[in-house]
Amino acid sequence: MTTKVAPSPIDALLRRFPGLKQFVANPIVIRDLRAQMRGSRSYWFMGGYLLLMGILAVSGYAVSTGQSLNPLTYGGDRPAFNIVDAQGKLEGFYYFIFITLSALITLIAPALTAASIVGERQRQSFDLLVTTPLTSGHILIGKLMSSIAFLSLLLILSLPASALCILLGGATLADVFRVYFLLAVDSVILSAIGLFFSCAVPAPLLATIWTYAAVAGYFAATYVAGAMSLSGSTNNFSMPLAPGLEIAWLNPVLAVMPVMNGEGSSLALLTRMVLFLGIASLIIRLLLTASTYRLGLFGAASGPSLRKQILLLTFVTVAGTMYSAASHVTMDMMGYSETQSFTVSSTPILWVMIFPLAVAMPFLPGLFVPATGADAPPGAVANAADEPSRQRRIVWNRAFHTEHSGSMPFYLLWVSTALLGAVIGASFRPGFLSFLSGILIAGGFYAICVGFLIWTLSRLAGSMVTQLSSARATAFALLIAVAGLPMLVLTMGQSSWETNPLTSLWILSPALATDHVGAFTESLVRSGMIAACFGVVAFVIANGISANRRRSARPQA
Amino acid sequence: MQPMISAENLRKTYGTLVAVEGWTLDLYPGDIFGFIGPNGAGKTTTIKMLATLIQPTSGSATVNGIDVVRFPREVRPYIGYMPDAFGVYDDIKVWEYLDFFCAAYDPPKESRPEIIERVLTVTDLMEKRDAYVQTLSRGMQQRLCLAKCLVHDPKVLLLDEPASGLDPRARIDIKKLIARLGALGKTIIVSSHILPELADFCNKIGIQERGKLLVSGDVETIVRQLQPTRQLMISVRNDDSAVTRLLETLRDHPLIEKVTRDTDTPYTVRVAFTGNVEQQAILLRSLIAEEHPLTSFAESAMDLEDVFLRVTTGKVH
Ligand SMILES: Nc1ncnc2c1ncn2[C@@H]1O[C@H](COP(=O)(O)OP(=O)(O)OP(=O)(O)O)[C@@H](O)[C@H]1O
Ligand SMILES: [Mg+2]
Repeated sequence: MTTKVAPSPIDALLRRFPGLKQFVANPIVIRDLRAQMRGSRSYWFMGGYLLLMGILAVSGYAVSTGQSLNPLTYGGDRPAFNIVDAQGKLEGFYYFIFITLSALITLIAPALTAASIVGERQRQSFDLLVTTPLTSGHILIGKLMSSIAFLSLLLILSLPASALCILLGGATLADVFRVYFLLAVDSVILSAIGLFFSCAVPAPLLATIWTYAAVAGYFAATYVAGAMSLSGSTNNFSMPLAPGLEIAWLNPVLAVMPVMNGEGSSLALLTRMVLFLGIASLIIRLLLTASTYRLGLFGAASGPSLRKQILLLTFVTVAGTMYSAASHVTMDMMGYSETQSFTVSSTPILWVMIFPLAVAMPFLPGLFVPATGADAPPGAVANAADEPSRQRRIVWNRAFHTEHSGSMPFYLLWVSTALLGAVIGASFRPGFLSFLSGILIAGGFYAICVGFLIWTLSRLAGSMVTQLSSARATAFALLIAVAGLPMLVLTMGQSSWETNPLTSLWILSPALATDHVGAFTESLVRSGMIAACFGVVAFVIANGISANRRRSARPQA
Repeated sequence: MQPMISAENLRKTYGTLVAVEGWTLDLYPGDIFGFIGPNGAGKTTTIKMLATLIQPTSGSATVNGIDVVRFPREVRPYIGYMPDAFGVYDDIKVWEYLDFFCAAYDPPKESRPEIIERVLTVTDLMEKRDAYVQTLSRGMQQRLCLAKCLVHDPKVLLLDEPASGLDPRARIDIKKLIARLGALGKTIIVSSHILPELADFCNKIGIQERGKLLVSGDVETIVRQLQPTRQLMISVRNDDSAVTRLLETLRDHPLIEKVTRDTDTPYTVRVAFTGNVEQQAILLRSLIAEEHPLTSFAESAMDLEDVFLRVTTGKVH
C-alpha cells in the first residue's frame, strides 16, 4: 500500500515554473556538494581557512595599529592616546582584512569553475551528462551554483575577522554588509569567467591559464574604468547618479573601499547597489550565454541570444559613458571649471564618443564574416550554390539567427546603437543643435562608409579562404592593414602628423581629429570617403575571385 | 508497427574523412541489433549520432518517431547511452551516482530510492551500494554505467562495446543481462569487434566497415547468405573400410558439393551440404538405412569468424 504524500509548496512551485529547476534542486549542485563536502577533508579545509583568517586578523591588527591584542601587554605604560591617529590605524586594519579577503576571493573564485566543464570532458563523463535531459543551462548554472555555494562558505567563515573590524570600530555594520554583498556578486562574475574558459578551451591546464589571464585583464580593466569614473563622479555635484561606484564596484578591490562621504545618502547608495547588480547580471548573463555557445551542444542555439546581449551591453556601455561625459559638460556649463583645480574641456566627450567604436572596430570583421556565406558547412554550400541569390541577400528579419546572412543587420544595429549613444551624449553639449546636425550627417556617412569597408573586406576574406576561422583571421588582418598601415607611413619622419593632410588616409582619423572640434565633421566626411574607396576596390577584387572560383568549380560538361 | 529506431542515409564526415555513410536501418521493439566492425569502422560515430551527441552531416534518424536532429532534447528521455570509454566522478558513492542521473530525469523525488534499488538489483551491484565509485573494478564500473542507463527505464539502449575489458564470466553476465532487457521489449544496439560474442543473443546483426553498413538483417539470413553450404561432420566406427564406403555413398549425393576426409579427427568425413534442415534429416535417415556404422552426425558450428573475415576486407581509413 502506498501513501500519497501531499506535494510541498516548493514542489508545487517547481511544477508551475519548470525553469526554476535550474536553480532549485539542480542535480549537478547536489552531486558537486556531495563530493566537495565529503568526510574530514572539508573540515580540515574550513578549519585551516578559519585559522588563517584568525592569524591574519590578529597579526594585521598588531601590525596596522602597533598594538597587541594580548590583554597582559595591553595595559601598562600605554603611550598617549591620540584619537585621530587611532582612527587612521583602525582604517588600516579594515583595509588589511578586506583587501586580503577580496584577494582570496579573486584568486579562488575563477579556479572553482575553470576546470569544471573541461574536467568533465577530460574524464569522459561529459557525454553521459549530455545524453540526459539536462540542458546547457542546467549544466552551466549547476556548475556556477556549486562554486557560489563554496564561495559563500568562504565568505561566511571570514565573518569573525570582519566582525572584529566592527567591534573595534574600523567599519560599520552597514559597510560590512555592503562589502559582502559586492564581493559575493563579483565572485560570481569571476566564476563565470572561469566557466566560460572551461567551455572554450580543450585542456584543463590551458583553461586555468586562460582564466587567470582573463581575470587579470578583467581586474585591470575594471580598476582603470572604476578609478576613472570615480574621479569623474566624486567631484560632481550636479549629477548625483553619474556612473562611478557602480563601475568601480565591479572590481573586487575597489568594492571593499570605504565609501566617501560625498557619495550621498544611504538611499543613493542603495540605488547604486541596484544599478551595480543590474550591470553585473548583464555581464554574468553574457558570460553564461557565451559559455553555452562554446559548449556547442547540439540542440542549443545560443548565437542569436549572444548577439542580442552584446548589443544590449554595448548600448549600456555607450549610454553610461555618454552620461558620464555629459556630466563633465554640465560642470563645464555651470562654470565649475574655473573654480576647480582641474580643467574640464569638451575634448573628453568627443573622445568617449568615438572610443568604443574605434576600439571595437578591428573586432567587427570577426562577427561579420559569416554574413558573406562563403564558409558555410558543406551541405549549406551546396544549398547556396543551388540558390545563388541567397548567398548575398541581406535578410533583415534574420538579424538574430545563427544563419550566414544573419550578421549584417546585426552589425548595422550595433553601429546605430553606438551612434544613438553618441547623439544622446552629445545632446548634453552646449550648442548642441548646430553640432547635432553636423555630426548626424557626417557621422552617419562615416559609419556607412566604414561599415561598407568592413563588409567588403570580410567578403574579400571569405572569397579567398573557405575555413571560417581562417577567413575571420584574414578579414581581421586586412582591416588592420587598411586601417593601421597608413598611420605607420605617416608617423615616419613626421613629428606633427596631425596637421598633415595625408592623415585622412587613416580611416580612424576622426578619433584623432577630436582636438579640433571644428575639423571633426570635415574629418569624418573625408575618412568616410576614403573608406568607401577602399571598400569599392575590395569589393571588385572579392567578386573577381569568387566569380573565378565559381567558374573553376563548375563541372566540365 | 512503427520502428523504434529508424535511420535514413545517415552520414557523418570529419573534414574529408567519411566516418559514416549511407547508414539506413529500422529496428523494432524487442530487437537486439549486434553492430560489428573493425576499428575505425564508424560504430561509435553512428551510435553517437543516434544518442544526440553529434550532429549528422546529412541524413535523418528518429527514435520512437522523434527526429534526433531536430528534437534532441525530446529524444533523450527515450535512450540509455553507454559510451565505449567513460569516466566516473571521484568521491561519490554508487547510490549517489545513480541518484544524480535519476534526478536528471526528474521523476517524483519519492520514487528515486526505489528506482535505484531496482537498477542495482538488475545489474547485481546491490552489495556495492555504499562503495565509492572510483573503488569499483572496471567490470563493476561497466555494470554501473549500464545501471545508470536504466534509471529512466528507456525504450532504447545504445551500448557501445559494453563487454570490452571484461573477464569471460562478466561477459556472460552482461550478455545475459542484455538478452533479458531485450526480452522486456527494449530496442538495443550493441557494438563489438567480435561477431561470435554477439551472435548468441542478438536477433539482428549488421557488419560495418569504413563507414558503410555492408550487410544487415537477421542473424540466420545473413549467415545463410554468406555461407550457402552447411558444414556437416559425419563420423563412423573406427574402421577404414567404413569410412571409404561412406565417402563413396556421399560423393554421389546431389545436394553435396564436396566431401573430404577430415584430417584433424580420425574416421570423420567433412561434407559441404547445400540442402536445408529437412533435406539434412532425410540424408541422415538414408545413411542409417544403408547401415553405415555412424557414431555422430553433426553440423559444425557456424563459423562467424569466417563470415566476418569474408565480409570485411581488412582495409582501414
Ligand atoms: N572527432 C573526430 N574528429 C575526426 N575524426 C574522427 C573523430 N571521431 C572519429 N573520427 C574518425 O572517424 C572514424 C570512425 O571512428 P569511430 O570511433 O566511429 O570508429 P569505431 O568503429 O567506433 O572504432 P573502434 O572499434 O576503434 O571503437 C575513424 O577513422 C576516426 O578516426
Ligand atoms: Mg568505438
